[in-house]
Amino acid sequence: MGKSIDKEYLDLFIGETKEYLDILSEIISKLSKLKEADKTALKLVDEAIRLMHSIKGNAAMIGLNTISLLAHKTEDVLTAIRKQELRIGKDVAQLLYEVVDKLNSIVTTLESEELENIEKTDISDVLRKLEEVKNNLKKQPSKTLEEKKPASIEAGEKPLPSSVEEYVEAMGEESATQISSRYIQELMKLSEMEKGKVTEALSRDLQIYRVILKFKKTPMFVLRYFIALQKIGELGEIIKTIPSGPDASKAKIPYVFILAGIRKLQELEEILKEIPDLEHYEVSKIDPKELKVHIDKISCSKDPSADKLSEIENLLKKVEEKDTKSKAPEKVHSTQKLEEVRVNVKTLDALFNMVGELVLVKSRLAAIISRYDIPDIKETLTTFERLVSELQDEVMRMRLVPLQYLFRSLPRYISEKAEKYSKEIDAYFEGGEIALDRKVLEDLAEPLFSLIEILIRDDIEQANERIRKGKPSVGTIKVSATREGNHVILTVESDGKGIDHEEVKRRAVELGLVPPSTIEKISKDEALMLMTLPGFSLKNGEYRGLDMVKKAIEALGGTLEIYSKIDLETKFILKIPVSMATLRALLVKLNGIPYAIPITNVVTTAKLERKSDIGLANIIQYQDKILPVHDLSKLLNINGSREKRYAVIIERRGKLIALAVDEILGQEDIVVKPLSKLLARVKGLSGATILGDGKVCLILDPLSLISQ
Amino acid sequence: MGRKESKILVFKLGNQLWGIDLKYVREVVKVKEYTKVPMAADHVLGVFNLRGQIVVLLDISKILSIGRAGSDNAIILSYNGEVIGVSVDAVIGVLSVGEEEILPPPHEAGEYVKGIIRHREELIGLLDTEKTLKAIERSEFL
Repeated sequence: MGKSIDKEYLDLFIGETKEYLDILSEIISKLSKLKEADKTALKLVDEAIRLMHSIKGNAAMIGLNTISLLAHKTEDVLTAIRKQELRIGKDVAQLLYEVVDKLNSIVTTLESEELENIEKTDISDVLRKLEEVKNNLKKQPSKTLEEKKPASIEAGEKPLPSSVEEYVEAMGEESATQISSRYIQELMKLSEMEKGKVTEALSRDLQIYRVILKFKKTPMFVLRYFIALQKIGELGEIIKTIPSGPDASKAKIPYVFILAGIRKLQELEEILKEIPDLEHYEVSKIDPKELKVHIDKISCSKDPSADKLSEIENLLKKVEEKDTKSKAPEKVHSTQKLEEVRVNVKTLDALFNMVGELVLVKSRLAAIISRYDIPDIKETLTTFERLVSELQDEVMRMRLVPLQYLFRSLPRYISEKAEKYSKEIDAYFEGGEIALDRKVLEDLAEPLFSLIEILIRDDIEQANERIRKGKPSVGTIKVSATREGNHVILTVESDGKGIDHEEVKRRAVELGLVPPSTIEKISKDEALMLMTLPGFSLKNGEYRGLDMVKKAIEALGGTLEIYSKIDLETKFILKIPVSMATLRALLVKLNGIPYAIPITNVVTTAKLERKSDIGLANIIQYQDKILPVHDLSKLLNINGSREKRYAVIIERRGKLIALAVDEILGQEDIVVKPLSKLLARVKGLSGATILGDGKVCLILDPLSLISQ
Repeated sequence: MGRKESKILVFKLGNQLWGIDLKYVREVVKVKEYTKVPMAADHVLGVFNLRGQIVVLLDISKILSIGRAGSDNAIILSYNGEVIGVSVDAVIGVLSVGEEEILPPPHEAGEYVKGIIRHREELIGLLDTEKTLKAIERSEFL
C-alpha cells in the first residue's frame, strides 16, 4: 500500500520533470558553446543544478529511487563544474545529454508502466560514466585551475546537505521547535498589504485562521505544499504563508504556516483530510486584533453614510498596496504563483472532448428547436450558442503552447546533426512566442526535425567547399515563425547549394514517378514539389524523405511549399493551422453513409449529366476542361450505387480531378478527433468526427486515395 | 502473500468460452451502431462513439479463427494508453482463478492462447491480450 502513489502526483511529477529536462537540454547546448566559464556560464550551471536538485527531490518523494539516484550523481558532476573543477567540454556535454535522455525515457515509460518495472530500469551504464568523470577529475585537476587552488580539489569540500531531510536530521527535534515558534511569530507580523487582505477577507464574512501543517518527512514537499495551498485557497483567501512560494524548496523543516480567511472551520478540516502525507495539523482561530487589523473599518462600511469614507480608504489601501509591491516584490510573487495551476494535459483533453460534444449537442438542439416557433426558447438558444462558442474558444486557447517549447530542443538537434554530417552550422530562431495547439505542436516536431536534417545533410556544403564558393565557412539554418490569421507560417531555410529544378525533373522521370510526356509542362515551382512524391530522391539519396514530411504536415491540415535558388537558399514554407480542432468539411454520402472531405481539398462540386455517367467514359467537362472522374466508392473499395449523380472536384498538384459521389450533404464545421493507432496504416483516412446524430463520420484524405 | 490469484473476465465468442485478464478491461458496453472503416483489415469492424471518444471496434474471432454470428456486446480495453473495443457474443462474468488453475495451452490452441482454465465442466481459453493486440498493432493481419 505504502508504495502506491496517487496518480495525481505522478502526473504532476511527469509533467514537471519533462519540463525541467527540456530546459536542461537547452542549458547543456548553451553551455557546450561557451568557450569560457564566465558569469553567464556559471549562472546556467546554477540553474542546471537547481533543476537537477528538484528532479532528485521530487523523485525521492514518490519513491522513484532510480531517477533520484541518477539525478543525484548528475548533480555531483554539475557541482564540480560549478566549482570549476571540471570543464564542460564535448564529452561532458555528451554525457549530460545522455543523462537527460535516460531520464526522459524513464519518465516517458512512467506514463504507462508500473512503478516496480521503472525501478528495474538499467542506469548502471550512465552512472558508471558519471562516476568516471568525477574520478578522473580527482586524479587530474583541470588545466585551467591547476595553478589557482589545487589544494581544495585534493581535499574535497564538505558536501552541502542535499535534502531537507538531512537538514532536519542535522538539526534535531528541539531546534525544529525553535524554528517553528519563530515562524509563527513571523507569520503574525503582517505587512500593510497583508493587512489589507485581512480586511478584505473580513468584509467577505470570512474568519481568520492560522493553520499549521506538518508533513511526514519527505525530502521535498514542494508539490504537496502547493496542493495544500491550492486546496485552502479554493475555500477562501490565503493571506500569508511561511515558507512563501519560491522558498518552499529551501524550507528547513517540513512545516507550513498559513494564515487564511475561511468561511467554515468544518470545510477547512475536510479539505485538510484530503492532503496526503500530512502528519499533523493545527488550526486556531485568530482575532484580527492580534494581527493589528482594526475591524471598525468594516463595520462602518455597512453604514451607508460611510460609503464615501470607505471608498477613499479603499483607494488609499490600493496606493499602499502598490507601495508595498515595489518594496517587497518577493512577497507579491508568492501569491501570484498560486494564480497558476498546473493542469494535466489529459484533463485538458478530456475538457476539450467534452466541449466538442457540447458543440454537437448545441447543433442537435438547434435542429430540434428550429421545428417549433417558440420565441423564448429561441432566445435562450442564442445565448446558449454564444456561451458554447465562447467556451470552445477559451478551451482552445488553454491548449495553446508557444513554439519556444519546440525551438528549445532544436539547438541540440542541429549541433548533433552538424557533427554527424561534418558541417559547420549556426542556427537562428525567430517567433518562438507564437503559440500553437499542443497537439499540433507535438505532431509538428517530427516533420520539422526531418526538414532540418535534410537541409543539413543535403543543402549546406562542407566548410572548404563554402570557402571556395566565397561563402562564409559556417552555414546557416534559420527557423522562423509568423502568424497569419488562423495559421502559423513556419519557414525553415538554409544558405547552402540550392536545388536545380531541371535536375529534379530529370530525376522524377528517371525514377518513373512522372511520365516523360508531361514533364515539359511542369513549371519551375511545381518541379520542386515533385520532390515530395513517394520514393523521390536526387543522386546519392539526397532529399529523400520529403514525402513523409509532406504527409505529416497535411495530416495536421497544413501545406508545404519548397523554394530554392542555386547557391543562395533552400526554403521550406509550412503553413500550419493554429489549432486543428475544427475543420470545415464537405459532407458527402456513399452507399447511405456520410463521409467528410476537408474543404481545403475541394475546388467545387458539380452535378453529373446522365449521359456522362461513369461507366467507361469516365470523364466530365468542367468549364472548358475535360477532367478524369474517379468513383469514390471504388477508390474506397465499398459498394456504391452505379449511378453517381454528383462530383466533388479536387485539386491535386495543380490538376483538377472529379470524384463521383452518391449525394452531397453540404458543408459543416466538424471537430476533428484522432483515429486509433490501430488504424494508422489504413489508407485514405485522415481522422474522424462525431456528427450531430452521434454517429462517427470518417474524414477522407482524397489525395492519398488517387495516388494509388 | 498466499496463492496468487488473477481475475478473469469470461466472455463468449461463437460457442466458445474465452477469458481476458481483468486488468486490461475498462468496462463492458453495448455498441448499438458503429461506422465501418473502408480499406481496413478484416478484424476491424469499425469505429464507434464512446461518450465523445472515437473507439475502434475489433472482431478478434477473425484472428482466433472462430465462427460467430456477432452481437452488440463489447468489452472496452485499455492498452498502452489506447482505448479499444472488442466485440464479443456475450459477457459471462468475472472469475477468480489461482495461478495453478491456469493450465498450459495445448499446441493446437494457437499462439494467442496464454492458458486454459477448467471451470466446472467447461474449458475457458485465456487470451494472450498483449500478444494479440501487439500483432494487430503491427498489422500482421492487414
